[in-house]
Amino acid sequence: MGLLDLLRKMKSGNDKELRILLLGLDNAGKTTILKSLASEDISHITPTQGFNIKSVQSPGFKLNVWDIGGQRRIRPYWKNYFENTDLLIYVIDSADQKRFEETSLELTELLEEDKLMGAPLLVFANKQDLLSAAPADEVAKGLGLDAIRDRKWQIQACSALTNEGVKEGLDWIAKTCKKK
Amino acid sequence: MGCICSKLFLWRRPRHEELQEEQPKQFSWDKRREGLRKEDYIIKDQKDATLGRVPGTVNGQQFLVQNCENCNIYVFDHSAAINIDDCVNCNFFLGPIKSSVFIRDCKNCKFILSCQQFRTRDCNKIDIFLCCNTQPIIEASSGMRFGCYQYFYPELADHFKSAGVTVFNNNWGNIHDFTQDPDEQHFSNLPEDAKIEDFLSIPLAEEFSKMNISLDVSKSVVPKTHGNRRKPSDESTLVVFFNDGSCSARAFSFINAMRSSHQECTLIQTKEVELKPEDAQRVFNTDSYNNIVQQGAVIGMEYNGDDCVETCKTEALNFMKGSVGLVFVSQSQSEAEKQIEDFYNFADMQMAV
Amino acid sequence: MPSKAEDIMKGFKLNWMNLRDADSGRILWQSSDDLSSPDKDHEARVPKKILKCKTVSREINFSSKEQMDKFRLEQKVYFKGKILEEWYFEFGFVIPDSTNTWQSVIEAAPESQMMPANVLK
Repeated sequence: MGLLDLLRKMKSGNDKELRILLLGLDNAGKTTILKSLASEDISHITPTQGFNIKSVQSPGFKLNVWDIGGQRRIRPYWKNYFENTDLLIYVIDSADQKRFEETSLELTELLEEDKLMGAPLLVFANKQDLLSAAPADEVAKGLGLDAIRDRKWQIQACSALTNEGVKEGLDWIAKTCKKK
Repeated sequence: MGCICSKLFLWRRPRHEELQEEQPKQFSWDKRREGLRKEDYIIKDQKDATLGRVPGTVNGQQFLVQNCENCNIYVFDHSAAINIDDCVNCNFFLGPIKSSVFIRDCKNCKFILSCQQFRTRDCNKIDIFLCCNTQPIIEASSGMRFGCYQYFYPELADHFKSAGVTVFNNNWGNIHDFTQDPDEQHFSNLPEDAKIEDFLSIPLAEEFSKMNISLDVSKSVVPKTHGNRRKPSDESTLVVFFNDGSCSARAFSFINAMRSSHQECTLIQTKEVELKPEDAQRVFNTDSYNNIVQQGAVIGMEYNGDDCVETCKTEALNFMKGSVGLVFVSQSQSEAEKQIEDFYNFADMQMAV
Repeated sequence: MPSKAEDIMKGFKLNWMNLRDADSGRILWQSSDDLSSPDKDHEARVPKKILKCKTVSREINFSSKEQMDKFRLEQKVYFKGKILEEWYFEFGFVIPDSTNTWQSVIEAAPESQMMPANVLK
């Protein structure tokens, strides 16, 4: 390992570094989105039992994305990762009607957190490839996103599995954080 | 996309905003839903019924089962994802699932299923014969019993392929419990001699009469493995089939030959994994296999039992006679231990990245 | 009675580590040796083609039985007995009974800053 570090020193950073928190219920597809952001193979992804952190290079930005497991048991630990968050990505399984209320409640609680105050919010309405998926505007309505006044937000339909819509979300992040 | 825009222009303006102004972007899912009726892909509010889907009717779509009681439900097709919610006293066969199966608020149910991810929450008393390519997880569930998947019908192997579920990478015995309780174990193994037919019978209903299902262990699409149960002996050995286009078929005939002539040897675990030359060098401690591993994924099997090293050596030799396919077998007990560890450590890492 | 630090050490395992071409996501090198045993030297043979990649990413996977409030990873790079480079990463909190991965990008330095390969022999 030492050899590599000798040869490749960190480039003196002109790029802005962003700390991004990637949250959502278990089975929403957070890790698949994380891996597709990094152009990695998504054919076998294990349910997350803690966190996955990745640094993703995008034009002008270095994104440090923290994907934290979403099981009910480990959601209380989310708060340990709020500090210094520049942007929140919240992932919804658009095809899981049974838990729309549960995911909406979790998001509402997140948006009330002092440490996440003002952080822009990107909601991925994921799993659009599945037959029973609700369209993004319906998801937005269900979550009451229109009522958000204290931060910038955006909802983006996507399918991490077919790698569609994820790039569009990334573009919004770049636009939003440049203006900041 | 308008070609008048210079690259610089596109760079500065986020694409979706621009697209909103022009025409909405077409995603592949807009097309996929056309002509499909959601109600064909859901079974709900059923009582005391036997029902399901025959091959070709789900065809890789998502499938849902909700609020059923005392039912036998058979999905003889591959699917994108399946959620099973609020079912009581039901038995299920679910064909290979490309991403996750999520079982919630179910009680006293039995499953035979194969998938990429297995998840449960708020379940009680569930028996599962499972083939899962990643580590299965349970949350707030108790009385969960697991066994190795066994099933055959003529289209099943193709359904596994379509769903991208690998029959050799089965982690059925390696459960992660998110709600561990030091005073209560929430999951256990099904008895070793548990028979599939005692849990879920072959359906007799007219619509399934042409299925040609077999529960014969030697015909099962997924090899029966011992999992995390206590190993019968201190002696284990590694057998690896290299890729020659038919290594899967050869691995199965080896497994069947071992089962019929050497019952004292138990198949503990199998893995199908791609090795790079440097990985092969490390696992086998020789460069003899550096070329052949580049032909594709290899299938590795751990056998356990007194004298299994010698038995597998002899059986593998029989297998190589009259065949061009290459097989690796551990040559001694002392070597085998390290080879098994190296091979499976490598395979587990490969599956986790 | 074992101390908390001992409990943490006992329940900690570095499961694997890899290097990828960050542009394609392809794995160039990986190892599943238990790298957390502290008194052992671990040798890594990294393929030469790694030098052709514009950006390389390093990923580690570890498990922890115990909760950790301030977890920090440090690495020191020695060259001929001198510390050449030091880095650390602050994870902060680690969930009890968790398995975690951390991947970071290592960018290629401009050629002029690179150490020629023959110096390293």
